[in-house]
Amino acid sequence: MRIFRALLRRELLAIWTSPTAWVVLGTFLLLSGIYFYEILWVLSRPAAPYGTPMATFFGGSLLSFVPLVLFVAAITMRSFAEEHHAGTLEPLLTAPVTANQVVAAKYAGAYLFYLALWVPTAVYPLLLWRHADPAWGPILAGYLGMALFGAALTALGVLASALARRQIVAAILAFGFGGGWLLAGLGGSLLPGGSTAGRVLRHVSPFEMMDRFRVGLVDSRDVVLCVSVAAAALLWTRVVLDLRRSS
Amino acid sequence: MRSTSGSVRLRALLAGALGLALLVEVNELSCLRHGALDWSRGAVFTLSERTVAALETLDRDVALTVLLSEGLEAVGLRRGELLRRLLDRYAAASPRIAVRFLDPDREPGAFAETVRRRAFVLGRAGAGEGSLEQGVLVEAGDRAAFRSLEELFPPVAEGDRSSSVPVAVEGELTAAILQVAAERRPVVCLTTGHGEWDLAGPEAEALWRAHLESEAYEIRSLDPAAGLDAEGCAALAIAGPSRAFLPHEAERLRERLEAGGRLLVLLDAPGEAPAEAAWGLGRLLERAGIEASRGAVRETDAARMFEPGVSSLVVGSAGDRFARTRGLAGQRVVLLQAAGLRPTGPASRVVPLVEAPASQRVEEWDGPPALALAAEIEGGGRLVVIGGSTVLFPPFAARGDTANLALVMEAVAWLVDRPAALPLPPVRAERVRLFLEPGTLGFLWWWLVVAMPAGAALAGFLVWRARRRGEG
Repeated sequence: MRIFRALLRRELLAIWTSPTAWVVLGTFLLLSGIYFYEILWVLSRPAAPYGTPMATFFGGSLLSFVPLVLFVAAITMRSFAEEHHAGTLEPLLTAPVTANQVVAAKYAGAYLFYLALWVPTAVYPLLLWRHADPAWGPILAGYLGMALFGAALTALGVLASALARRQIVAAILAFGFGGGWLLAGLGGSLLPGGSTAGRVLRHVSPFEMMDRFRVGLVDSRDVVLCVSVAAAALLWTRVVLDLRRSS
Repeated sequence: MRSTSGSVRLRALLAGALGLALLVEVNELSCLRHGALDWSRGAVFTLSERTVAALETLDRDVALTVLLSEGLEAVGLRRGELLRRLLDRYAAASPRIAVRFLDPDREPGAFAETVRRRAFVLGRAGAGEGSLEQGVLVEAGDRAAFRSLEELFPPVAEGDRSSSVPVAVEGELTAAILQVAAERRPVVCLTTGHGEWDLAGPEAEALWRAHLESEAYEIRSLDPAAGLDAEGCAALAIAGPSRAFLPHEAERLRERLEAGGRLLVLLDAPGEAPAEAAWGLGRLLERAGIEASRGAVRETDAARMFEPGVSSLVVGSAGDRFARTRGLAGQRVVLLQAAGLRPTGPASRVVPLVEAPASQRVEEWDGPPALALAAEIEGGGRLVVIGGSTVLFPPFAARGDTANLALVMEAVAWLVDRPAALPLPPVRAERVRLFLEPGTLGFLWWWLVVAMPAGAALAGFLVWRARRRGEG
């Protein structure tokens, strides 16, 4: 545990002292702010439909998913690819630390940064509170959904970073993983509801999943999906590192 | 060295394959058995215990087909989304339930086939290709029922600014499922020949009949010539008699009760005539430990009158001592020209269903009477007496703010030992309507789009400068 903490501290320091992290955070808040403001603007017009602003914010449209996948790719691209490019991966893997500890620390560092992105947005429902009567359950569930979806996306991003030798390739690969997941979800919504493929794709659809979370439903299937994808991606990351070490 | 490397690769390959297999298997298992926490306002996605109990007793397969064009649902309260979530719960509660969404825009062929197959139920018999009312089709074998979107989502009044809207999906669909799935429909028999209601008659009767049938009861009128021998009747209902039962008829009813029979009696105040003379049912009531008043219940407090100046139109409230109607406790029950009731038997056997406030009186008694009582006697006989057949009068029963209908339906369900029959009241789903002034919007824009991102940029700059100084 002491080694893991030391590795995590090293990882967090590297993330938070890099300009990329602050650019990502600033851009995330800018886009989130514009998006949330647009939701408020639309819903406050006299002829506006009834809606719940925070529910729309949490995955109400494709616009809220694509940037998220991009941000996660930007966060995770450096995890292993940078070490590899700088030539520090080999020494790290041959140091008296296990591959599991390295993977866990890299993942935890990136995931904590992902969670940190969302912390300032807690101001949004507080701003809303003064002008509406939002239900807090769906808001909490929305954040939980974003945390779980992020856990899986981050793990896929770390896997992409382990597979690639350059950060840009890792980012493209991570975006491919996340984008593929989104496309599968879109496919599910286009296929007939009764077909097996439609049911399977709907089950893995991030849109369907966030549709549940943002209305206040915490479904065990969604939790299992995110956690299992994250676990599998981390296992494969470990496998990739083993292959790297052996070659 | 080469063999070590090969062994690592093999192990890595196996671990990767194992990870993939686990991923698929774990998710497959999670779909077979799953649950959900409902944090929504009003727990709109949670099925009531009554529905779950009803679904658990299903003994035949029920298919729910949602006929809905979701392309029209992009804004406002997304009914398709809400239906999908709630029907998920139905499917999870019983393996007998299968749910399918049929969007006419995406699957026009299947949609047309469904309309053709169920044209009568869908209200399309003999109709052309006009627009079909959207809703949920509930099918079990050759039986089918349909609930329109308007029934599932009652429209709200124009200009309603509340932060929630009524959703009647669960009540309507559970009733429809019971209606089509009941293998054995309990028979409710109605006595005739004493001026009782004829269920084929006026609207009050029709209302009750419609609800009984929608809850999968079979209704049978007893031929007066055949006496009161009610073979196969799960419950006997005496609804608003205006002429007295003959002594031998009343005796048969009493014997039926003593033999474990179930009776529902809706009695209006007889006016000047003594109760026994008016209905001939005094001994039956006495056997169950119930006494009915001769005079009508009067409201003495003008402020409590349902209609100003009409003292015989009384408002009671559903009590909380009868387990089956506890969910209605406190809700209003409106009756006209009601007979007062009071228990004469042990309190454990006679329980008030509807209580009158202290301001209501009947001439011959001290203190407020009860407006409805339920009694159970040794041997299993059950009797529910409601002090007025007007409990089912549409101006009272069809109002959304009274428990009249729900009370009667639940009483019938208790009499026939049904697990669930209470028409579930609509729940309230969240909707937020914002009323933001331009100044407020300006403040929000400044805060959301400028201050917060700029704060992050400033923090990043400070970190960068500190790092540079450290390096320097």
